[in-house]
Amino acid sequence: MVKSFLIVIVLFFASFSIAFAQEKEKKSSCGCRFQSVNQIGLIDGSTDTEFHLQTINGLRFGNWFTGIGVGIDYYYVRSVPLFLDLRNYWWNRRNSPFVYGDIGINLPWPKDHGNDFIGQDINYNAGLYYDLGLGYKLGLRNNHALLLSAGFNFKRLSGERKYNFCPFLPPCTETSESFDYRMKRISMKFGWEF
Amino acid sequence: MLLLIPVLFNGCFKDHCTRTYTIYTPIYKTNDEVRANIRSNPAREISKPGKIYIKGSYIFLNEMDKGIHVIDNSNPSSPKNIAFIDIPGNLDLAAKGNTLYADLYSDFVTLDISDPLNVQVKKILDDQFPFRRYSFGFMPDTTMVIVDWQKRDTTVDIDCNGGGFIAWSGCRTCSFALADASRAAGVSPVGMGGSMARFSIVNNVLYTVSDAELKVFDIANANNPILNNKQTIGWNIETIYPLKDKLFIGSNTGMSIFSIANPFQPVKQGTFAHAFACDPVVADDDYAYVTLRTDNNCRQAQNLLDIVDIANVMSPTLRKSYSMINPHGLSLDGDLLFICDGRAGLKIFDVSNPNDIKLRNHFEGMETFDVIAFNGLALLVAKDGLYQFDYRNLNAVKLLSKIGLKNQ
Repeated sequence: MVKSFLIVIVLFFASFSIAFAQEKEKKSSCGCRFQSVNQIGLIDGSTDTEFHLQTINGLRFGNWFTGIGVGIDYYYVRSVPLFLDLRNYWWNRRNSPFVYGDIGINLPWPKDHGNDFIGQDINYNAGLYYDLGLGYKLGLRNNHALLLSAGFNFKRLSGERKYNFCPFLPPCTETSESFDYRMKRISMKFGWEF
Repeated sequence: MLLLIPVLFNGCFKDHCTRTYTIYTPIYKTNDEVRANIRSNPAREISKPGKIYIKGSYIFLNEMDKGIHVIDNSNPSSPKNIAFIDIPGNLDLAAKGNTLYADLYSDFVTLDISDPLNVQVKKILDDQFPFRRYSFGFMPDTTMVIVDWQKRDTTVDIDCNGGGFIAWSGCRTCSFALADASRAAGVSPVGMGGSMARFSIVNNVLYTVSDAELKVFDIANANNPILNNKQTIGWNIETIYPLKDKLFIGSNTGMSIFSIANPFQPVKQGTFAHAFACDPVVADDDYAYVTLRTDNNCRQAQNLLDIVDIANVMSPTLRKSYSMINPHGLSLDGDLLFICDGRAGLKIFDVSNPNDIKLRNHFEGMETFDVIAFNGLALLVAKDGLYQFDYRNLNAVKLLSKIGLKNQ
């Protein structure tokens, strides 16, 4: 699972590296061009405050952009969001506010498996991921820009584990429990677009 | 402005974490109702097999916390489940002649099994096993007995910061061993049990171990057991295995050897210590064979077979350790050692050379708990039922029969 995530991340970074080399290419016949958005920031919630980073690669149509994103979210249980991104730049200028929306799935990539008194690993399952917010683009040369954004971010994970429960005396009984984590956070991002 | 958003809105959003688990609620009956129902009731399907006892052509198989299945094994290829003796809280059993001894939580029940289809209660001694008073944290009053549990799944909110359920594990592996007929010199043949035993009969004495105590019952009058002696022998005691004039007692931290030269006054002779683990034991004149395993209740240790030299019982020493997967009960027949290696199945070893034991047979595909091997017939208690193997020809060990579990 971890290997798959790393492969996905490497592919996306490779894709925007190729895009960077192609950035001077003129717009295609569709009137669109490749655009890459790469961001790092903080996620702040009631349980934790952590970093997250993302890369989103897709197509820019006029004031619209849509792409596929992947990231690493270190909040509570580390995970890899995989999502579709759609954003709209309000003004057709170098500097412009924008609104964005992401929706996808949140893939678990835990650093540990919830080891507690029971000592039995929790097996995590993927859940919903979305992020909605506002931002501002500060244009640089040649379609490059700096981005600042903030919004509401949600990620969900579930988990389960089985173990032998021996309360004080025999017999022990095999039992199981499951968990559901719904994380509602504020996400703030600083990024670079080209 | 954007940086003010987390400051302004942080309190509006709260993470929500839940936990779903099973709640067990006890179902009670009165003492009188329970005791009136200790008899040969219609057979029922095996659901949670526990310890096992062989007496002649009958198998007495514990159904954990419920009672004892009576299985007619006159034809091992076609065993028949013929009756069920309802004994709530039953985990341990032993038999001598036509008498079966069993626990009913903390009480000690004596049964006449001369007719397995018409078992009779002969005597009940109250509160002989006080460590069994509690079950799942409940303490029923003395007039009531927990006969079953109602299960219900429930979902509760938990603190995402790590609060919620904390398990308290204090269980220890239960096991009892019984002297086999060939080892109990002369006298009325007693039955044979597996290595995971807490009850053990030697001649006219029944030895039982609790988590800390060794009790000695005089059963010269089989239907009237009398407590003769008790002594505290340590902590986290798990198993007892008799061999001639010795008792091998396993605990979480080691194996102790007691002399029963005076049957009513066991005397500790030696101890073999090991890392904290759960450990059934069997022995012959020269070696004790101890399986050690780790699980939630056995904390940190390795999964091993230890072969202990007991030539000098005052100072047993480790001869060699062998790595295992998840070892539970074991049984010894001559140079053949049968090991229930948990989810790794049943393994049969040639232990004629303890420094280099050889795996002769390995049966996978079942999670094994305990085994009795005697005279070419191995009875195996596994998670999915009771198996019987014919091992008279080691090159062609064959499965004779299996009694599966309910709903399988």
